[in-house]
Amino acid sequence: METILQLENLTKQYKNFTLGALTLAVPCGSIVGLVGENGAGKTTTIKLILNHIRRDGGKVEVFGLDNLTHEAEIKDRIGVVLGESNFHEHFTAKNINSILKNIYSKWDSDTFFSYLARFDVPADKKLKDMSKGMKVKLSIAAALSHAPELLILDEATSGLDPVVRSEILDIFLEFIQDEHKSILFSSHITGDLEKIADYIAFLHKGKLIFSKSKDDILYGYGIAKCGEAEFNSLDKSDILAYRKGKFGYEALLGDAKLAHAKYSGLCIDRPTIEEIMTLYVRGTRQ
Amino acid sequence: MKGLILKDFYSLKMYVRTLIFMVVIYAMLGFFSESASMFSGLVAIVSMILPITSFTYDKYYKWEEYALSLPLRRNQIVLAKYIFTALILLFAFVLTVLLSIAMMYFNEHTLTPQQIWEAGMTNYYTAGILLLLPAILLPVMFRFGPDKGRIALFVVLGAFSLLAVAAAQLVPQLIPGVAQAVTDTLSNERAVIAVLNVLPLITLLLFILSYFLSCKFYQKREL
Repeated sequence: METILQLENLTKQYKNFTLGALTLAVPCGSIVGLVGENGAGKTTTIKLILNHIRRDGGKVEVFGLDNLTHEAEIKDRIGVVLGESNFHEHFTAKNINSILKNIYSKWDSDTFFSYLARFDVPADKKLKDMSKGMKVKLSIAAALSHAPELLILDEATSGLDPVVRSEILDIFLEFIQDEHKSILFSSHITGDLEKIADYIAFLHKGKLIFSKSKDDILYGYGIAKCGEAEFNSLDKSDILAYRKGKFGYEALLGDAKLAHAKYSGLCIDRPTIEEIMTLYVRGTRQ
Repeated sequence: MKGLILKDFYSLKMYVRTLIFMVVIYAMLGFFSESASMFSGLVAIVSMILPITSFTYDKYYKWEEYALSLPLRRNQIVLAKYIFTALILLFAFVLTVLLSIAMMYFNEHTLTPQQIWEAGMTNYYTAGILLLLPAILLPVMFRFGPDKGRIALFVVLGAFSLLAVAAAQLVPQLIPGVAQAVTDTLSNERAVIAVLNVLPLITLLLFILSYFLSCKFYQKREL
């Protein structure tokens, strides 16, 4: 199986917001980062995959199975982290183990407790006495302990300090070593995605702006910083989006290599995902 | 699904400790006032509060979105809440029966099988009514969630009470023969007992039907 998750023309209509039609694939053995500003539709997309909300159109296939007709079967093979913690604050890791071992068919208590030991999360500590980072690590341990093939993460690293974030990203990289496993990682912390994602899918106002390999984006795109005159001399078809700032223009170029050759003297930098997002969201799109 | 029921018991552990304290006080009060009715009343209220609280906790701790990501069908999630509620009520029932028996023994210093049977039966009749509350409450919770659900509950109970009071006042006036008919029926002891015996079975049936209604509501629920 080459694609672990396939969204095809997925749509959801709300009063003031429409998601879709979204077509997106998560290949096996890869990490797909879902980026977008707050309200872009990232969480809505995840809710549609997990069937928390009903889709208005399109298809969602996980492991080649329709997510409605094979819902429970799919969810047994997915690990989710939906935020800091989803458990009562008086629960301990031991309570969580007792609960989940009766729910997941492949739950392995030994794996769970060994992850906890590795993450330095005490098994008897109540959630309310844990730091945020510890709670997230506990949620991740729970997500990893039933032999999942797909991890779905919604803002799993938000609000964490850099040290813990780095630790958690390493865990995800380790997970992906098995080429039959994948991760869909929704986050607005683009730095994290730059570190570990293979593909970046950029959502903006419910639409998929692009879904490309991270390397193609970071090494293929370019950001030209120039004055007005120079900006006006640029071929508009080379520009994906631009913004007029205090000190001049910033233009996102779709092909940095071509632009280097075409416009000698033009200052072209490698973009960060954050810069790309900002240009698309706050700038003018061509 | 066993995991879900376990989760509700775990989450209410702290809350239950406070409630047990209250229950003990009321039990003692009941003992000394030789009336188990206050105690039964409290047990009835408590057994309603616990399921409501479990819904509130689920929402507050964002459990619901996690539960819907687990390999569980929505009907199983509903069933777990019904089983949890039934277990609480069963426990409440046993507790009240034991207290009634204890009180009888304490006051009369005898304990005949007849007395035990009477204690069981009296509580069986009240249990019938007790089961009606969650039968109404749980679908409301599944349809509207705990916040709106609580308001809806007060509205429903308020409406019920108003209707009951209005019926008691107005019906005898509107239909002259009714008052006499009711008195005649009530004086027919065998008929009354027959009805009382069947009532809990009817409310049990309503409780089961309410499960199917909750399933229907929850299937449509969007987070």
